[in-house]
Amino acid sequence: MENLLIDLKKIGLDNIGEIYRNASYDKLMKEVIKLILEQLLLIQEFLLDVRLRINISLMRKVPQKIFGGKMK
Amino acid sequence: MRKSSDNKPISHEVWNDLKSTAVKQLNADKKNLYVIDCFAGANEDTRLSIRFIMEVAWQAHFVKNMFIRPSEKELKNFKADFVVLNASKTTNEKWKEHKLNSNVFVAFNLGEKMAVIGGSWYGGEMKKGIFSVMNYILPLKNIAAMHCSANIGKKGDTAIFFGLSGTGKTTLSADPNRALIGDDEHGWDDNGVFNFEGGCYAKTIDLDQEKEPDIYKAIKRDALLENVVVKDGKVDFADVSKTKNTRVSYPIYHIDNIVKPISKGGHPKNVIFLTADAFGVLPPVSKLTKDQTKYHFLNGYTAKVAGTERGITEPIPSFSACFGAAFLLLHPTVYSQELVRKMEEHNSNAYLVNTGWIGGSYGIGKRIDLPSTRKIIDAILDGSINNADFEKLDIFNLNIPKHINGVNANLLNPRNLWEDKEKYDETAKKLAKKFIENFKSFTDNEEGKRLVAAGPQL
Repeated sequence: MENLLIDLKKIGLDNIGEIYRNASYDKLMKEVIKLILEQLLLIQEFLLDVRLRINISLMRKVPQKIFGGKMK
Repeated sequence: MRKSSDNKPISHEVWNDLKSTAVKQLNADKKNLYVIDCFAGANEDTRLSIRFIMEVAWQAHFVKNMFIRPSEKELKNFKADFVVLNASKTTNEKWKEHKLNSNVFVAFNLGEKMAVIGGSWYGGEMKKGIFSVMNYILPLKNIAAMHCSANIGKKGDTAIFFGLSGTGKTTLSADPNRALIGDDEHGWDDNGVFNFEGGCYAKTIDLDQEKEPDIYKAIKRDALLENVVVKDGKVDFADVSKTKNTRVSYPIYHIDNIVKPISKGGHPKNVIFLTADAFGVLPPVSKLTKDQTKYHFLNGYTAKVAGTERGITEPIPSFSACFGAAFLLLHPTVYSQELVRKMEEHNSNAYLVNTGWIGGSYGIGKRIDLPSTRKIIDAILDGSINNADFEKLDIFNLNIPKHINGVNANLLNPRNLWEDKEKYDETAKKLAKKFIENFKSFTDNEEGKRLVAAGPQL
């Protein structure tokens, strides 16, 4: 592993996290699944964010309807 | 580099920019990297040690499937001859300034022994990229590098199958009666044929359990499907909404009948050129003379169908030197000379097999059925084809057998199946003209000029 790190550094790869060298199929599969879950979480966060924005937007419309003015 | 080559030269400045882009992508944010150390080439003395570095786990899985894996001991002392940086998540923003075709890049520096990939997630870039490198290194050592599949019969007879994508290389080499050496990339040295790879990369469009049982069975745990559509928990191999180029990669040991422990065989007795002629002009099988072998190898003909839209029935001829122009880094004649030299040395026979259309062009005729093609291949491999009488097909001057066991004799002469014989002649002349036109690019030397006589004549 030490030699590998030296080789990678020579290429310019000196700011890296973990290295999986010739990882097993199980390990690679777990990483793929982890990535998919991360992506799903990102989508969930995005959707929550969108919902929040819609809610805020609706809240803005409430005083507009009641008082006929804009809410700052 | 040859002017008509599919590969284009880039300057050192552009290379440095592309390399920096790839390194920057892989080196950012202390990200985890996957490194696969592996080999291309089953022969220890000529194999290439490759290090793939990437940030996407499934790409590491792909490389693990496709290349030859080192043993524990080999891994301990591993020294890479060639490094591939796959930075698929980044693109080249300066592509216009670099005078490139797009922001996707697949660049090689043979001096630096490195390749960089950006913008493309297609697993095949890594596999075919290294194949190109092998196509540069091996011919310089008088070893033929070939875009072909290979298998071996029970009597130890090796056969190789050249062909472009979609012509049946993988399908026809997966034969329950013959052990598979490999399905796509091979070398031919003084000891025989050897595989470059440790896995297979099969097309899965319309994959059918009955027609292609070996490939179907190979799709199990550790196989990796690309671009397929899953419906109700099942893969729909007929769905091409992502791309027609749906694929599966799997380690070669997923095929039951393979050559073990090393994917190699003796000198090939039979060399088969596969073509999918969508014009319906070429015969299902013809035996080639020595010069015809060189001619058809250099021309590397197949056809593409124009599409599935209604009314579009015109096929498009496609020529790819040595059945793999995109992977050739040297002049095509280097590869053809090496192949024919080896064939002469080992008394190998060559055949042109059309797995495409019969009875008419695409849209009118139909694709020859797989069982008939398999019978033709069987007749070549068991030598029974040589017991038949042969006749000459006009225009293309091809020798076609009059009889093959288990195949309707009417199929063997393509003109027989066309209702409109004049239309056949007209289409044959049209295709012959395309052959002649394409071959002009090889007549820049005496050998090329001489070989014109081995092609179609008008």
